Amino acid sequence: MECEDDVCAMPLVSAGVRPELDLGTEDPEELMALFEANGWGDGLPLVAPTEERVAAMLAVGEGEEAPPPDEIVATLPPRFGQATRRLLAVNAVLAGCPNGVLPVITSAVRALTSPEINLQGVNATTHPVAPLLIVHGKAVKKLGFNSGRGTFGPGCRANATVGRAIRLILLHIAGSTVGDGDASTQGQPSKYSYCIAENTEETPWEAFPQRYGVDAESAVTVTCGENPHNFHDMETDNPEIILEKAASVMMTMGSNNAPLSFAEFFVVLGPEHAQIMANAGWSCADVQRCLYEKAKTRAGVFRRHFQVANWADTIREMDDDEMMHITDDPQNIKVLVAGGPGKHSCVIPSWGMTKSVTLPVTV
Amino acid sequence: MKIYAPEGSIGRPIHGLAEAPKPMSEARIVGLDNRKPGAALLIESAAKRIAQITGATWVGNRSKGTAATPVEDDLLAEIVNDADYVITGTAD
Repeated sequence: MECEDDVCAMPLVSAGVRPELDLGTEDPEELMALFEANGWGDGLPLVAPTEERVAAMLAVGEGEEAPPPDEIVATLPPRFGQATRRLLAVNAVLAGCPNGVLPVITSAVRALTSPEINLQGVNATTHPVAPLLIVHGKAVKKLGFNSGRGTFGPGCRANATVGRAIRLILLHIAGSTVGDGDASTQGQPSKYSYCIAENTEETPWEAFPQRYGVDAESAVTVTCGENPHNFHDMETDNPEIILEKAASVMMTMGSNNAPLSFAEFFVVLGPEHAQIMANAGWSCADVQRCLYEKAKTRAGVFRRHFQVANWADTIREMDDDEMMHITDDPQNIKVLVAGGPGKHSCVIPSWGMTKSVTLPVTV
Repeated sequence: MKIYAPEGSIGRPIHGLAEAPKPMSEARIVGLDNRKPGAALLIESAAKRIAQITGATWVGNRSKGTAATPVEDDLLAEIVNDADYVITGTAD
């Protein structure tokens, strides 16, 4: 019996795209009008993806290791559009990306199609979830990403445009357009662009990818979640007090993570908070365990909030007064360092039914 | 001036979702004795216990010809017809 899902029968190379759209001039207004008329774009001004610009975007990066430009990198739901490097480059140009960042985008798109990510759900849910890209290692400085002050904010071309390119790829190739392919009730600002970099220089622990078995000079992590939820503590050198604040942010009953005991959290520590923990002799695993222990409340409180929940059976058997963890394993709490001076950090609850993926990047 | 369109071709998903299984309370379980010593008793006990816990129906045991050969085509067809789940053993 022939299997209809036989990957051997899948085409490896797309029919390809060519520059066939007519644009009278490079006037930004004309480009915007053309894209609006076709239902494309994110509502912000775009850079015209001319043959020359796309060729230049394809030319810098993976070198001899780069696959042919029309080879299919991924098939992206819900539209099941075929993403080739050339098409990724088209969207990178549209987003205003500097040449050189295409390998980061390509690895991020591969990560997005990992089953753990659950891209169909991420794109189509009513939840406001957006993929966050975290760039690690040598690529950060080489490609101009900002891992320091204001890493989540504006002002850095690489952060802003790579995050935007991923959104344009999801809109155009994956078809996650509002209404048809994205049922998001309210959306969130990170659906425009969501990209930061790990501040390895100020991380007192091993870098994030190495902790998760990715031994590469550069890497990118994709996690699909909410906007960052800030917490600040400017008063103490006691790691437990700081992490109690983080745990209180993790405990919000309005989060999609609350009814799912296997859900993942990212806790992005500012360098000063991380240093306080390292000075107290804490490892990254100590931070995870502390957050796991502190992020809990009475089982009855959870039950009062959720009639429908995907919890482990052991939790269902708890008495109302027993303490229930918001997530069932310290390993579901991912910790890394990003940002600059100041005593602020943040929690990023995931969408719940998704797990992060880290892949190497060749730059 | 010519520019690229941003969407590209539509493919199809590599993996489709499997049909959701029935609730175990509606399931029928067959034990398949692989003809190793003691296997029939072990398989039958496990199948009955699972049926008891989940509310499934234990249909009975079937036996293949020998431990060293694949299950026969007609027996396979019978099992497909009679059961939603099969409990069997492999090797020793």
